[in-house]
Amino acid sequence: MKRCPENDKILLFCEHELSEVERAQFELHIQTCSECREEVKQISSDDSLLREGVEEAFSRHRVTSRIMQQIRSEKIEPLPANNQRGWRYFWLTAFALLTVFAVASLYMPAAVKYHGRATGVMIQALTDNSTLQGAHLAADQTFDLAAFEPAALDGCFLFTVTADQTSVFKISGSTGIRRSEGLLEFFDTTATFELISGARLTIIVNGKRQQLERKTVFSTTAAAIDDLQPDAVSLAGLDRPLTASTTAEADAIITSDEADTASSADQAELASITTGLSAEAGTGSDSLIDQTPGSGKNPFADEPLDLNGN
Amino acid sequence: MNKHERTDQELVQAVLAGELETFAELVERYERLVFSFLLTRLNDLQEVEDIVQETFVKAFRHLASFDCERRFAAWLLTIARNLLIDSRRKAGRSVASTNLVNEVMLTDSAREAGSQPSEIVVRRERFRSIVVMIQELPEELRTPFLMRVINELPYQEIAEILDVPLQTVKNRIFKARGILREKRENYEKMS
Ligand SMILES: [Zn+2]
Repeated sequence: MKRCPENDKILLFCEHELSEVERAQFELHIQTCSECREEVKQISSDDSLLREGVEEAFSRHRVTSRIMQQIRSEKIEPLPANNQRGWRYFWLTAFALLTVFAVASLYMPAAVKYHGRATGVMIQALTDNSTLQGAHLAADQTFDLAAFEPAALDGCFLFTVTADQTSVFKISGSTGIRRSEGLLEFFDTTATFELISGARLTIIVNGKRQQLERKTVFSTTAAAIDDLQPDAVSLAGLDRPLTASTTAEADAIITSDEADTASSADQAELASITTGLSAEAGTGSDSLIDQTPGSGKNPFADEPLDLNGN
Repeated sequence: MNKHERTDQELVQAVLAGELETFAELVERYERLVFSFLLTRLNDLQEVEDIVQETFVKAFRHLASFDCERRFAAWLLTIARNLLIDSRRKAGRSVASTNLVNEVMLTDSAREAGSQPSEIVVRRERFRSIVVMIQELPEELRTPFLMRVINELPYQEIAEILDVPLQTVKNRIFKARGILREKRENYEKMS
């Protein structure tokens, strides 16, 4: 099909990207060229139709009043800005505990490959929505497992375990926890574990022995992995220190059997969360969300969960 | 009414200073953006509504953590996106898909009230085909394109929200338009 030579100006015209002179020239041109005129008309009418369609939906689905109502009726108030403070405390605490335990461990028997025999277990809530025995904890609140054993935890916690060496790991999700023959035993667990620092550790999770190693992330279900980031962090900090060890480049990802199918997708999700809006894991693109176009069965919507499609 | 429309940062500060109701202004300002962002990614409008609501409530709760150096819209979309991932995860792969196009364009829409039935049919068919064409665009083109057309945002603002260079935004929108144009031609040839 032979096009009008002015055709390549149409899109620039529609996007208001022509210079004033070019614009005037093109406006003159479309007075005489029906082909270009029609196409300009088509583009602008398609744009408005799209806008109107979405606008119609929007006008029927506005929730401003519902949002304000929820805020009023649940008496929600902005939380203090505890993410920066919280994370600083988190690192200070982790560092302080590590130092103390590192010194203490000098006086303890030499290390074995994986250690167990947990003598001291300090647990710190990392988010303000974490619970112990069903009761809410303040972010940063720290307690000794010995005082609550067996403990029922839900949320995001930092564990500092002293055995023959010290290990610091993070757990997100819900679990029961007690000591069993010196080992930490997690039961009824739906959670993600991540060793942050210190020595490798043997733990029991849902009846199975597991080795918790550095840069290991493992989940007991497919569902838990994006809970790795406490709320405050996924909101504001895309550059918090902890995320560095939980990106897709983490050396080892161990998942239990039932998690296998979803783990790679979750991993991509995780990476995309940690890198935020501007970068997408795996795809190298900088779009907001997955690259994969929708399946076609639902105009307008992406295929759910297909986050790492290439 | 106001001589001076307050910036997002000023509104955030006001809310944090205790003027909680001021938050409604931020919602008014960005509800459409969050809505249209989610609209292209979810299966039904009820879910879109719910996540829009959750997004703002969560933003409200964590408002003190908002870094005023960032764009409020970008922050909101990060929250929306996390909630979206969360909801997809909960729903698993088996989300029932509804025909969003029909939902979006209801018969009782004010716009169509005075129209002939045949006009309504033509308009919807056209809308449906546009949506299908847009759906086929790669995500990285689709998002800026929709922000441009639906939200009528300037390139600079899109660039800031998506955190990509201005020229990249322009290129992507042009590329999107180019692809849509070809699709439109093919579509017209077929029909
Ligand atoms: Zn022409």
